[in-house]
Amino acid sequence: MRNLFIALAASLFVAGAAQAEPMEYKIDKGHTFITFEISHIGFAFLPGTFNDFDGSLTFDEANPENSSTEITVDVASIDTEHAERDKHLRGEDFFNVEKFPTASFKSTGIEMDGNTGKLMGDLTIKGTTKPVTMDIELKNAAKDPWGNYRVAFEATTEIVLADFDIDNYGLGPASSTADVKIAVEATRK
Amino acid sequence: MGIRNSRTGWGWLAVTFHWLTALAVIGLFASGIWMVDLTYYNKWYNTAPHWHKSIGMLLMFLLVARLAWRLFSVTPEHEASVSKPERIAAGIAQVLLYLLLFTVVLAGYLIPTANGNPVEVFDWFTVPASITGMDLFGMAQEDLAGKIHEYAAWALVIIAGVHAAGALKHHFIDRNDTLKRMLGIRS
Repeated sequence: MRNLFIALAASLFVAGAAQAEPMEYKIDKGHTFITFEISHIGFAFLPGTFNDFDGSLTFDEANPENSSTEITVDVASIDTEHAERDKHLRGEDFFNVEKFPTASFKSTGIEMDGNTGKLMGDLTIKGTTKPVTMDIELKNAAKDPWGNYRVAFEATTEIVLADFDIDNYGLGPASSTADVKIAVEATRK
Repeated sequence: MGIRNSRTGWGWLAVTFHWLTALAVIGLFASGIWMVDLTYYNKWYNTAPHWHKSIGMLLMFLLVARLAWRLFSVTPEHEASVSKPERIAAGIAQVLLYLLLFTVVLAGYLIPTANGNPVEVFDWFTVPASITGMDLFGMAQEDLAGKIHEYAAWALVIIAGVHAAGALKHHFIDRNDTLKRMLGIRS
């Protein structure tokens, strides 16, 4: 009897774990931001945003390592609140969007320890793909006021411009890297 | 020589408009070609575009005044020795020059104002943005306006070159007063 009870409890536990399978989420574009900051010749930091992107998110709350994400960015949507600078950034001196219209991030693994962890993935900019590790934080996962199950993440990393061939204009040594942040909100499908 | 045009010659205001436009176009074209290739640490990196835009905006206001003056005052007749085909060619070139002048300055204005920022004319005053965020043919406003600005500027200086060659022909080959009239010299 006692053994049967343990077996029953164990099977319930397994079933419960099986239920917490990876779920598909829809990225909430109004609350998702792909932003960067780069030093202006060692003075202030200049923020920018990529306004147009698309992506998918599979999230397993019980076993975060089963989660995955993929984001494709329309590089021409770069926005630094300055039309001439954006025009320059789209051109051959920087992103060359006519030849390389999209950039993408595809996750390859995730390690969580509590609400923080590491998100590994392949980052492609200007046709060059490099593995990157982003610091990730699960900001929240709960029901929102409108009845959706909503999650929020922030992932950050530092990118070396030379790794992706976007350093040729000669911005100077203080501007050789950019801090990139992806702040995602998504609702369960 | 009065301020107004007459049947036989240009008034000094039209002459001033003409040569200010010529000076501005040459300066703006040369500075435009030069400044787009300036490197980031060049000392002209910020100043050259600032002056280019400032003079360009002043040219836009000058063109409006110039066109109004042209439309509402007498246009001198051609010198008698100018042939019919030359008159037609000169007329076409002049209409194209006006169209291209306006195209170049308006397209230029639409670049820095594309996301709503005003254009600063030296440190005297600012011209606010009007049309912003336009997205045509899959191109952002500043990119499309930039291409139009560049190609129309090339067309403008080429046709201005033809226009100047015509004036020189009148002066040195036909030996008529067409060029002298635009220089304000009465013979």
